[in-house]
Amino acid sequence: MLEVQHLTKLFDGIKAVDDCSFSVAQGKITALIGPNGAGKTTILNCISGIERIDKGNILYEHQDVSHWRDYERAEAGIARTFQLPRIFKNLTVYENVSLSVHDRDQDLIPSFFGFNRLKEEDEKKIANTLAHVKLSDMGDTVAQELSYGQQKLLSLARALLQPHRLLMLDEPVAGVNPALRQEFVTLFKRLRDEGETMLVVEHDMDFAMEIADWVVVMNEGKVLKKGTPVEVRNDREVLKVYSWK
Amino acid sequence: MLSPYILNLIVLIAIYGILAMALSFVIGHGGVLQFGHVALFGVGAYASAILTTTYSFSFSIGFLGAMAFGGIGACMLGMLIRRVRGDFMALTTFFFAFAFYALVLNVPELTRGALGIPAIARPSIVMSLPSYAIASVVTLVVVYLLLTRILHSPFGLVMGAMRDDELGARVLGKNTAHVQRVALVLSGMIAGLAGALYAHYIGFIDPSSFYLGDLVIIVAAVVIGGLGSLPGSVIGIAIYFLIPEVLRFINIPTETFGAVRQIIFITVLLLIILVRPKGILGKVLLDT
Repeated sequence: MLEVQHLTKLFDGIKAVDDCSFSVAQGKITALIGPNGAGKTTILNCISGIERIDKGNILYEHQDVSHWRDYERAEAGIARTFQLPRIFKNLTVYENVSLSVHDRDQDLIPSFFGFNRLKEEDEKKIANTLAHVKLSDMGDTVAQELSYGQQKLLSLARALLQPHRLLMLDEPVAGVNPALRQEFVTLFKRLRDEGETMLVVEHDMDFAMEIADWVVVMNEGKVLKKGTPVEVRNDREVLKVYSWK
Repeated sequence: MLSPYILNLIVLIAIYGILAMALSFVIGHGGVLQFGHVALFGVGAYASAILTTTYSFSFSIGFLGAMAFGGIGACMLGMLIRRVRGDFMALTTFFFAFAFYALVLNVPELTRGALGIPAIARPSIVMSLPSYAIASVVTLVVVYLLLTRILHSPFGLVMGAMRDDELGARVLGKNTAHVQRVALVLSGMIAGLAGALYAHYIGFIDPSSFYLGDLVIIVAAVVIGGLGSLPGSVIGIAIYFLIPEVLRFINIPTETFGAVRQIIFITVLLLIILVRPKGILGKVLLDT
């Protein structure tokens, strides 16, 4: 599904990501873990096109998307969330999620004459997704009035509704309460069982190990170790970087 | 029958209301910090004036030309601000207004420079003041309905998303550069139309008609009326033009009305910013 090949990204001469290579298998959850400053979010930003890469390639479904623009990669099926929820704060919850399913909404003429209204199946998808994230009753609520946890759920709902084949989540459980965290575990496992391909960046090692099929450990911009959760948890070099019980 | 004074107020409020709504459309709904709007107003005015007086084209061609050139000007502005955001976008558009003023002043072969263009006729169908007032108000209503329709459409939703979080919109697959361009061109066309209405109403235009003073009034009206509110923009303009009516009840010399009006208007703006930043009817606060 996704192959990152020898990715290097510099910021003012400092290598935030240094010759990183890994792949994300279809229908699996790949966790990208590492301490602060390891380069995890930078990699996500490079894959989604927010940051330009300095060296290397990003192959998505065997296509080299390294020089595609961010919205082009999103249109091709790469959806993502951010560490801090990015919501359209002056729009309602419903409006926020409906943007994910709307087709041709950037064309003025079809919009003006009502040719690109949402279909019934799209409305159902929106209703189902809002129900999954427990925001069904908040459709008319302006997004900035939501709590932090609800905003996280809203941004997840938007990514889920967006037509995609790869879902990238940046620290989805950061700052959320334990109950919501557990709901996310259940949700992500269910999505994986339904065929979702996910790349999850996480600080919460226990959460990452709980949901992941494959783990990539990063440290100081480099890939330290790749393997199953059991292999990674028992690796000496990884244990040196992290203090695990 | 309304007095000529009242009709004059109605025409000016309608023309500037159209201009303010076009600005509110891009700033309040699209998040584009566009401070070159008065230049697009001027482009339309000059285009129509030149087409109808110098080249003797019909008024229809004049008005259509005003809209076309307003759109072209907005397109050029869009290319300038494509790679800048926030404060730099605001500054770039601001300098666009200066550039227009300098151009108009220094191309006398086309614009008659500082002398301005006199004797800009009115279309015979709206020759009288009452008919021009009706035409202006009808145009205001049509522009309001057009922009409202767009803002309530999927395209308007993308504009709102772009305003609130452009990066968030882009990772949803939205080509925000395209949306910004279209919104700017539409706004420019409407500003050009307002310019044509102004030129044919006043009958004379010169570079000083489209400079900083008008820019401040329009931007202030949009802020006072409230970002994200088209009717609010018109209310903001109405406040500006109706302040002298309030001053009549205060015993101050009429020759000071102009200066006092400016002071009061800016004071209202400052109060709005401090007490109710969203404006009278506004719904949004911009994060720049």
